[in-house]
Amino acid sequence: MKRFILKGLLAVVLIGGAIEATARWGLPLLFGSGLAELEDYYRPVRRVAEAEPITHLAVGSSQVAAAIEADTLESLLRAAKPGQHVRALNVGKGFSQQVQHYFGVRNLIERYPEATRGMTVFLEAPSGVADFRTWDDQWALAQWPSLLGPLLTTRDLPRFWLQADNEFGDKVRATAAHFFYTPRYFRHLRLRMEAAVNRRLMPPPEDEEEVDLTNAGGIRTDRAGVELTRLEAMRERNERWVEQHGEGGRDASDWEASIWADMVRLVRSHGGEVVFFDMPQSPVMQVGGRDQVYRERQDAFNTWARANDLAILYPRPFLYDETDFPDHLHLRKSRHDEYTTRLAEAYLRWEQGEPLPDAPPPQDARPGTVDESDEAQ
Amino acid sequence: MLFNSLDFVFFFPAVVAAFFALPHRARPWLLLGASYFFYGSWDARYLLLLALSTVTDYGAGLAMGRRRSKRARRPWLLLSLGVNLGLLGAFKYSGMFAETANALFGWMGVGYRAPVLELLLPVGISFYTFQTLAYSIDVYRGRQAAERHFGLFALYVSFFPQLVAGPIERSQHLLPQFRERVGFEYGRAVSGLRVMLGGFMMKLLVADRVAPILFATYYGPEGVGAFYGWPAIIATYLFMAQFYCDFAGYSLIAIGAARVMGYDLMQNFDRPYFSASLNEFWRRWHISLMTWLRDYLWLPLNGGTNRVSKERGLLSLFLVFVLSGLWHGAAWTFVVWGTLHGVAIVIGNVTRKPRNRLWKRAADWERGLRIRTSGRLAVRAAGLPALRLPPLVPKLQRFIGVLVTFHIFTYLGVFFVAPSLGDVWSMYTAQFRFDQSNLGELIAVVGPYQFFLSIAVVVGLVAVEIFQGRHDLDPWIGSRPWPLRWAIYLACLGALLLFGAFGGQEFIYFQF
Repeated sequence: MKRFILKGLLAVVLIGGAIEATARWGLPLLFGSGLAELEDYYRPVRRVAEAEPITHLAVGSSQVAAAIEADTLESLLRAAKPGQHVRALNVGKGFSQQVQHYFGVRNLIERYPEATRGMTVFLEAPSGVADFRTWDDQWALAQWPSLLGPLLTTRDLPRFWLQADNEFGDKVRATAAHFFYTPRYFRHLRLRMEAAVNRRLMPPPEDEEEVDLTNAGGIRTDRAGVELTRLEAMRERNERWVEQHGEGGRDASDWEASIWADMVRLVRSHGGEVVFFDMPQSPVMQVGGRDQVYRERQDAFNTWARANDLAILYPRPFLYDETDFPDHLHLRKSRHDEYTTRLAEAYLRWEQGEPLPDAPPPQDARPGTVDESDEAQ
Repeated sequence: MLFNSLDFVFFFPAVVAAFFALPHRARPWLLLGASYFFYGSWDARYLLLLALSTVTDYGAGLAMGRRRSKRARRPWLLLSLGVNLGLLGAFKYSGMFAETANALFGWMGVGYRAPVLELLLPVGISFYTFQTLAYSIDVYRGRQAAERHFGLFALYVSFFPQLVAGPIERSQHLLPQFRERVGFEYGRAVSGLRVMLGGFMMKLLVADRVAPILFATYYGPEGVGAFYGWPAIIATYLFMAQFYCDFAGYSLIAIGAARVMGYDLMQNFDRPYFSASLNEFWRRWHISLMTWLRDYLWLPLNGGTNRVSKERGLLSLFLVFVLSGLWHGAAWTFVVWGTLHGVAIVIGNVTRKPRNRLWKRAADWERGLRIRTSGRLAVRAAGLPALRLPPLVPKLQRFIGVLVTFHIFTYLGVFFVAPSLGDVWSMYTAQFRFDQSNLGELIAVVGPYQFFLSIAVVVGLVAVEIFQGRHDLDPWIGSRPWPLRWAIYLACLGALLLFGAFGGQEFIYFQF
């Protein structure tokens, strides 16, 4: 038995060590540092923080990555604040979760306290209501649990294992990704191999129109990827509907216990501020439209935001319909500059002390499209 | 818990370590607890069914053990049969029969509708009920002493490696092993791990890799019959690879896991696709089920003996296959699948003698030809050395037998995979529409990588199966020098990690 265990351990250490060494040092040589940033998506932000202070940081899902063009936001803010240092970044990421962004911002503040002092964090609030998530929810999505790994610190691990509503396998994967590089890169290696073979054997037609989407935050811009995202969007929509309208529904009233409440406390304790922004959302994804459940969620969110003196920005006018979301989820690339401009304007107006509306202000809809002002019904 | 889940990666070593760390007396209880945890992690409510089956058969076994005559034992056997088949009927077949009855009522214009119970099929119920029934019947027949140790008996019913998908073990084989003192054996443990690796290769590298092509062809949004010509044919053959590797892979993992702990489970598959007749095929495919059906269904149908008239023997064989179809799934497609296999087996048996006579005549003709030419070919005349060839006819007979058997199983398999009887016809006709073959579309849907990798792994599987016909892989690898042995292990692990499918798909047989 002793011999078996020793030989087994030796094999695991030698083989595992060789694979890990290849992943840690070999693969970046082969694929460049971009590979590391696929999983450790706060890494580019840390790199900036090493060089200069970050003043504005948009965090959230890949929808944030698609909607906000960080360079545009930065230049507009810089123009409005002559002589002041402005550095705006966007860390929207597909398959990320709120907990991950909390850890990402926390790690950033702890590691670069000076570069992040007074930073404004932008949080998404699609249709004027942020997603209600607590520490008892999933910390990592089952589709990509390794994204959590690089953001965890060893002190977070006990809480993750005890509190997060994740499957055992997902917890193992996220924990493994915290300690090792192999679980982070392995999937990318397989996907790259598959993509390369597919491209070689079935190249896209030369006259194929490019999909009008950004590839930030891991958004897929190939035709097959867009189709997959559409399916994923419908799945997500159904899940949300069940979560909000299903038997018993989800109690989303205690916002003080939410992760975003902790984010607010964290950022404010460091002299910064959090602002929510009404993010454009495809009509297909607007779960339940403007029904009773939506209004109750909106009331709870607004009450909490008012009590904490938090801003909810409504970038207006910004008209859109489902054609502006080629994959049902992400705003088309040709419109993100316009949206970012409206967002920057709304933010600057709020900074100058202009009062904010209590609810999404009505706006004219494009002819024949879903109307944002439906909430009046 | 699935074998191909991370949970099992932690569960299994923990159980093995605890098993060998504990004294012999405590081990059955550990394995029993582990088995209930393994099963309960899927749905703890269904542990009650497992427990009910266990308690009933334990009690019935004890009661039968105290009675001498079969007549006195019979009520207890009936209790065991009633409870186990009742559970199976309620949880597996009630929906099918209620829906069929309702369709018939509708057709006859009767207003009554039988209630359809919306019950979730408990994982592995067909396996553990058959295993525990075998025990009760053997105690009734006096071939097995009633087990007095409740823990050992409960472990026999629920032993986690083979609980949810077999092999369906016999009490005479498994129970005595639980009593034996098992020490850790290095060679046996390594052999068990090797067998498990083989099972994982079959499951993850072949069965799950191939599955997306089948889903796209048969269950895609366009529905059955959307792909025709080559895609339909390829999908039909790939299904055979998936079906075999999924089930045989599971069996191998179960056998390997048990072997690591020192227990031998029976072989469940013996390269069935290399069978030269359907009779042989069913002796090599799902061996534990077929031997169960032989001992507990076919023999009783023949009055407990195999010395019956040919007609009666064939009729009971036919019935066994019809019921085996029903065992595989609660749908009429499975019943028809079993029935057609029964018909094919009967035809095969009836025509065996005339076919063998023809082949014998051909073999005689070949022998005569050899004698006339002194077994040497004319090439000798050219001054070349004599070329002795082995007799060709027996080889040809076997080759044609294998080809025909494989294709009968493959094309009857359409009933197995079809969502409904109505879809079977579309799936057959789709295979003959070569003029509109849309292979390119299928490749576009699943991606060239997925498509060609699936073909490659199936070709690899065939090569390994042919190799295994000459060498038993486990001892063969075990006897290689260590560099070669480790190169094989690493190649297998590398192939698994790079090309395996890790979607966590459930084993096909879990639904049975």
